[in-house]
Amino acid sequence: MTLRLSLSGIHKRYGDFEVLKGVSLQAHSGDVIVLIGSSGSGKSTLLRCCNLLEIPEEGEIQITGETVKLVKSLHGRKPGDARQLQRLRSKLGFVFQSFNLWAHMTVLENVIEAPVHVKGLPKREAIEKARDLLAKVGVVGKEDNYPSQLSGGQQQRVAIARALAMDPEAMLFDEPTSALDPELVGEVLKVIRDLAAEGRTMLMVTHEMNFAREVASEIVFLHQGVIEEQGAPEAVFNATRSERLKQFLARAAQK
Amino acid sequence: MRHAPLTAFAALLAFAAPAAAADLRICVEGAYPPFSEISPSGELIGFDIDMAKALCDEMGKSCDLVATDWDGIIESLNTKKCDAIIASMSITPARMEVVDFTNKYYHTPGAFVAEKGAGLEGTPEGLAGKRVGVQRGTIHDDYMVGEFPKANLVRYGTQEEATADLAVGRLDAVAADKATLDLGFLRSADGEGFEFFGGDQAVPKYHGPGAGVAIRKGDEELKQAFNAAILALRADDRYKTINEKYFPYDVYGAEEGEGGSTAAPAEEAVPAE
Amino acid sequence: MNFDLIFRHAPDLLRGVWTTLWLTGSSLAVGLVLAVICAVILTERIPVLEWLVRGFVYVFRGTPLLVQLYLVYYGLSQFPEIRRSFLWPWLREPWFCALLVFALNTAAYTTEILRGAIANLRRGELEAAVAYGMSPFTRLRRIVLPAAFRQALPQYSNEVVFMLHGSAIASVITIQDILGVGRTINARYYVTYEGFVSAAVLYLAVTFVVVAIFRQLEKRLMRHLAPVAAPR
Repeated sequence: MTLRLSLSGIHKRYGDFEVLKGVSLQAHSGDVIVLIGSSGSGKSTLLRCCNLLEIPEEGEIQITGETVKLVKSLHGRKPGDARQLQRLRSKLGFVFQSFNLWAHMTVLENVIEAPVHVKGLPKREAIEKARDLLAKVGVVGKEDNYPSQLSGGQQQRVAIARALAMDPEAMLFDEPTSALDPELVGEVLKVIRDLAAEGRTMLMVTHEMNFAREVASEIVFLHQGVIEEQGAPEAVFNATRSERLKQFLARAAQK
Repeated sequence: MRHAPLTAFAALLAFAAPAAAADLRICVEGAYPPFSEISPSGELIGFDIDMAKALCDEMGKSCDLVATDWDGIIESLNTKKCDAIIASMSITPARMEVVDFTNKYYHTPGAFVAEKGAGLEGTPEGLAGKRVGVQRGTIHDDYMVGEFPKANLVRYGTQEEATADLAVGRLDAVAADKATLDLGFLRSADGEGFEFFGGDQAVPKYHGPGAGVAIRKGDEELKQAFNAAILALRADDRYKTINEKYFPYDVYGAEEGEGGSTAAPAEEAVPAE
Repeated sequence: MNFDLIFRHAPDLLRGVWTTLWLTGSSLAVGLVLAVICAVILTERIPVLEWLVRGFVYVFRGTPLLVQLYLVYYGLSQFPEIRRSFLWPWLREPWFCALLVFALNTAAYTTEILRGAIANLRRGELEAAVAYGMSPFTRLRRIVLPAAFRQALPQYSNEVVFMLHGSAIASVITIQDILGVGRTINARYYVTYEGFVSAAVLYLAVTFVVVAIFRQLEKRLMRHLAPVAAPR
């Protein structure tokens, strides 16, 4: 059980508004941690702090045991070592709510882009691997299509393949099904479920409670920038202690 | 009509122009010192300008002077934007195919200028490969094309641009009218350090019998009026006064023959192309 | 219309086409490289340089091309210091002055086009590039510029046509481009239309070809915006 990702004492402010008020979280290999909470609770910000898309003013972040160097800047902190940060980021796969595939590249080009141009993998090798991954996420025969020619579900599955192509130490999912039409949600969740079953380390923000219950090894409930409740799914869902989480789950169930 | 639509269009433009209050509209240039230039206060001045005013006075007509680019000055006449051109236009057979000329009102030869001590010769061999500037569409342009095929000819819209480029060293020589080179350039501050070379250039086939007033073909009445006015200015002191204002020598050249009421370009002259 | 005259001068006119093409082409090439650098400086907000670029763009978009050409060709040559400097062998050449001015002019306009295109890129795509560990340079080379170029293509093709037509003013500094040859024909034969009509026809033809090339380019590079295959 090696430590893949560790956040401690994370504070993040936007102006006077403090989104995260000292959050600590650890992900070991094989963990599937699902972050839940109402909008504005800070769960997406916390996920984005993991690979420094947001830079917290306070707190420490370790990726595969290595502490990300941050130095003081005019408005908080900035990366102290750009190369270190690039290297550490390349160890995490990030899947965005709105896919964020590179629109001017084909499906295949999207998947091989980072392996070839960040990791320096030979192109031929990257293509071979990309084809396997695309088969794995169930997007076949679309290698030469552009993202705009795919459905949302297909795009998100390509985005997952793009993340997998970097052989990530951990994968971060930021509401991966929120931008999808309801009938397309299932195909994406199936892919993520398979990844969880493979024992991949994952951190995910989602509103899909049933899915969370099913795949998570740990549920983290954030409320107003602090962790309100945390634990195994059975404990959190079946023996809820926090009043706020009870209310949240009741509202979620109505939807 | 050979090009009816375009002529009609041009006529329409002329018609659309404000009606001239004056009896005559005269196209002049404005970048050809000392014959015509724009003074610092924006007025047209120069020998051509004074001559135009004096001729109009003598004819008893009111005239508007219209500053016109040399490129297109003949079109302006033929599309009736003006009624005559007084712009140091040399009488040549090629031009006589498209306009009529009065008798000459002055006649100066062509000449070359270059930097002092450049050691250039005014011969086809001497100017071979040299950058020689001319004003586009002048007799000097034709002369260079016809007789100096190996020179590297550079054409300008105005004479002033040509001498300006000679002064800064972009050209090896300039071919132009001797009087404009002398008074408009060599005797100015810019012309310091430059000199004539190669002697007067006066080949009848190219240089013609002098500068005349150009009028539209067949405008016989106006032509006679101008001819009479030129003779009248010549007969008393008026020509001399204008001449002396600009030149230390007489620019009229040889007197016309006794009966010479029409411009007679050399019979053997071939259209310059 | 004297067609005989035009045919007799066809070789001169074709040389004029060649002059216009290489002058416009080299100006556009140099201008594009400059514009990429300037657009990146503006986007990355590099201190000091940013203000220099802003000033450059403002001046060159705020004054007529003809004035710029006159200032460089006739203006600079008025200073004896410049005529004595190492720049003079270049600045004395009309073609160099034209190329310099045209390149800077198109660079100013293209900088704005590219800056706008970069600003319009989807933030998420850039974020994805960051998240996958791309360095700023790799991001620029692989994501930002390729996407921005595609977005800017329709506007840039307009700029190319403007530059082609704008290059006609090279004829005022003695360059025998298409219009220069046309003017010479008019002036030497005391004709009104032949030179200009020939020039207009040649500009039309060149424009037609340029527009056709850009159509093809857009078709190739904008495939990602054309949803050919029905989704799902």
